[in-house]
Amino acid sequence: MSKYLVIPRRPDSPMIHAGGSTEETVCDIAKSLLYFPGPADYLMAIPADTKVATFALVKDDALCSLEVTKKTLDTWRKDVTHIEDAINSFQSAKDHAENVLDRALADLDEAYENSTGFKGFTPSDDISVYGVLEDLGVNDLQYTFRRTLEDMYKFQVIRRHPA
Amino acid sequence: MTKYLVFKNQPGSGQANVPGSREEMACTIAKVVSQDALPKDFYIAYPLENPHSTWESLKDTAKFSVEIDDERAELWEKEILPLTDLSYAIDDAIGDAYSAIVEAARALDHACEKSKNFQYIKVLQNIGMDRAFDNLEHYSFGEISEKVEEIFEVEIFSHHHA
Repeated sequence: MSKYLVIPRRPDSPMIHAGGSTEETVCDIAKSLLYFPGPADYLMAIPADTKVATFALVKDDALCSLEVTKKTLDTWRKDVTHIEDAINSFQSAKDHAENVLDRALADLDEAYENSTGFKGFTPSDDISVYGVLEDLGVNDLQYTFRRTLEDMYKFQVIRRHPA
Repeated sequence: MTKYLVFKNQPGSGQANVPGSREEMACTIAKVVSQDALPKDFYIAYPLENPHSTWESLKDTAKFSVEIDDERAELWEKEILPLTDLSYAIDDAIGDAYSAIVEAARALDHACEKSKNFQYIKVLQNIGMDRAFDNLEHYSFGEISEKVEEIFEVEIFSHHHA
């Protein structure tokens, strides 16, 4: 089990983790669990038992800590990425459906409003597209998945990244 | 004002309404009123004055009568038909949304099944697809249908679900 601290990489820092390295994957995991808005290479992973890590804590630079093993790294690379992609696709399908339905309803509302014989009925009053599709439980699913990952990687937020 | 009688078009009759005709309009009005998804030439219409109507009446019972004049025909073309198209578009959007979300959920289930640590996630079993989509039923078509029945003084005779 190796513990890492993750800190923001200075924009002028030439240090980038090697492709396929543990540190690179740790940054990918941290980006996902922190909801870090930038790319993962805006982050740096430092083994927690080093002086640099202690210094980062003293300077209040560390964003989070997490622990990995060969097995959990393998899980991230082989399983989690695919599942995250699938969750994102699921979320996109729901968002797209909401947009298309919302637009179709808006068109129908407008046609009703512009009609002479059908004024007074607003079809969208009968359907709450957004409320209904929330019932699908996508958020619960994301929450459960995320909690599993947080436990698996013993993820701890140390400092919230700037918005 | 012309009253049209609308009959079920017998399969293989070889008869069809002339596209753009009032007869075709009467049949479409009948379909909107019945709220059934029926093929294009499922019904055939004749003006009541047409001797063919009398003959058809003997052969079969008329399903609907529909009254059309120029003013109502214009209302149909300019207002009601676009409304019904938009209403159908919502049904299509709901159907498409259902398919897309089920497909995405299946892909997610598949990704979880293939994993070692996330096999407990069963998306399709746990998400409330049918419950959510039942709530998406919309009523605009029913509103249109009722109004169309009133405007075109549609009479429904019997067994229009033949």
